[in-house]
Amino acid sequence: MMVRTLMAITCLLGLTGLFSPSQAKAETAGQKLEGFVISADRVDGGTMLPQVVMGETSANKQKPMIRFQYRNATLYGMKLTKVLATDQGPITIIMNANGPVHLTDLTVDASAFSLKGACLKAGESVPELGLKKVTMLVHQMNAAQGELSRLQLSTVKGNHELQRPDVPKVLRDLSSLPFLEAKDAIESLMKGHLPLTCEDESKEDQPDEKKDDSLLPGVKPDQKKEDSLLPGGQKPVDDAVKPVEDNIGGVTKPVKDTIDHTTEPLKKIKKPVDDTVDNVKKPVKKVTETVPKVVDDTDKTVKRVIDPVKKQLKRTKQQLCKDAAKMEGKVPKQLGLDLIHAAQKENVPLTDLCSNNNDAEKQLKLLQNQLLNNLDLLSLLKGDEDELASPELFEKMEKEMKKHSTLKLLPHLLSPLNGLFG
Amino acid sequence: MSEKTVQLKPVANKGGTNKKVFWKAFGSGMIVLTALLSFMGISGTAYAIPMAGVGDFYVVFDHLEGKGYTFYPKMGESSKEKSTPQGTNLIKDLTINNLQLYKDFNISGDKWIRVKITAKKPVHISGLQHDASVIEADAKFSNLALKEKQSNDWQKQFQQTSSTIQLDHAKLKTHYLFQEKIVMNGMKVTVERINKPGN
Repeated sequence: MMVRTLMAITCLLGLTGLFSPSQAKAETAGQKLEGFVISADRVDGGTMLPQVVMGETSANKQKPMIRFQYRNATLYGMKLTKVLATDQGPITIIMNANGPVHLTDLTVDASAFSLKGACLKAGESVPELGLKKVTMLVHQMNAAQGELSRLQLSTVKGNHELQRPDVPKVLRDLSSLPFLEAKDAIESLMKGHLPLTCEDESKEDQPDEKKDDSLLPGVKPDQKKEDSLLPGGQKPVDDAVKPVEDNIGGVTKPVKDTIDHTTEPLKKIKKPVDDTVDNVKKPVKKVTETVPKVVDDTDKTVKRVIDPVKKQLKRTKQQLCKDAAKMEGKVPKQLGLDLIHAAQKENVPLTDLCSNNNDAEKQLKLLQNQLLNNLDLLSLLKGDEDELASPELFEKMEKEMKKHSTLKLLPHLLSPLNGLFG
Repeated sequence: MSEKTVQLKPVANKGGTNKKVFWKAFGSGMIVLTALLSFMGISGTAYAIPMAGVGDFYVVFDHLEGKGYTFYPKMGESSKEKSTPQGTNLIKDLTINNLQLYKDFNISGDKWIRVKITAKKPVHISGLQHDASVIEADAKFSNLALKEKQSNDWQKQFQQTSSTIQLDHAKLKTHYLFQEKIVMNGMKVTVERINKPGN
């Protein structure tokens, strides 16, 4: 009897050994191969809207993705690869367009991407966007019209996939959430116009790397990070996390203070924060003597959750100047407004905002002069420099900037006084 | 009235031609062409025509316009391998201008001939299945969609579709061709000697 039992167990273990790893391997292989990689040296497009959605892949029915929607787009140096695992090993579909690719009403669902040339925010459309070195892990792509010049479509043996881009933090966070919570988080992201790119720049501003940098209001901080931040090596993981949900009432004030100190970009996510505050107001009555310590810890925890979000939202001055340097005579409304606000805050003329960045300085001079020209106030350039930093002027500039989705800068305005009064 | 001629260009015989190899290669090409011609009959219309078993051949044309396009991957036979990666192109209805189909045969050493079918008039095809490993063209699509799907069958995991397709200046390395119906007027078959093909 004993021997039979042992034999049965051995057989089961053997079978487990035979089948489980291969199944796991198959699943892993499926996940590794999901999606197709599209890359382009340059993408020029008119009106692009990035959104966060749930989409289907070859391995998952529902996966968080960024949906890029273009009214029209032109891709230069486009390449596409799709690797498939066949019984006889991997094969690759390779699509290269050696000429420009024109697409209208383009929708691309991507679960990973890398690009240069713009900072994108969820649900916020960008007019006349130019991107460089774009790589996307795409699961679906649709276009009303597609024109691919000098297309070469081949199917070859082996894995010849283009390098896959990294998954952006925001999608990693969403993937870790249960489906329903992820859907709620997506809604918050879209309403709050939270940033989808330019996370690295924000991280540069965070000296403490151990800080939780979750972008999502609903995502709990990583367990290890919690432990490392608690005094005396205690294990109050529950205490540290629960207070945020149950006892955070005691820290309503710090949260409010944080909100008060927040600059305009954070207003966009104020509602989710308010909701959190409302939910935690009730338990405040139950707060006992032990609360102050908990409150203290909670305060830190809440700050850790909010501060990175705040930093993500707030375009840093360094980033502003970088973006200003790349304007190339075209200023998107939001960037223009951010620049005006930054100059107003520093109480300096627009031209003095990025004095250590020559390209940015030149573009800012163009921007200032274009706005003055539009306002019929070019004569101010002859007067006192203080007038160029006056709150009244910034208000007028802001109003003027709001009239344009993209303000085109005329190069001759670099020297507006030449010939103006002559 | 349709025009169907078989025009054999004189081949300069400088010796060294392996007649056995030549006739074998020539014969296999002719079998396919004869089959095609016999199906076509007088009207120039043929039904359920496959072109396979001759290995890789090339399809070249100036302009193609079609409706109902689908592309998906497959493993199929080529002249060199029993199973090689290919892509299946399905088009419901299409018209091709200046169609040429050709296959090159090595008859001996560095001696090559090209058997070519050309159609001077537009060719109309319904129910096309075309398996190719390489397609080169200027392409235009309407309602273009590239998408992957959750499936255990790898052939169903990736698909490209469009409601219309237009290809210009195209060259397709083809392994299998099937048409439910083809109307091919102004057809001409030629055999000519060529230098070693560069493809």
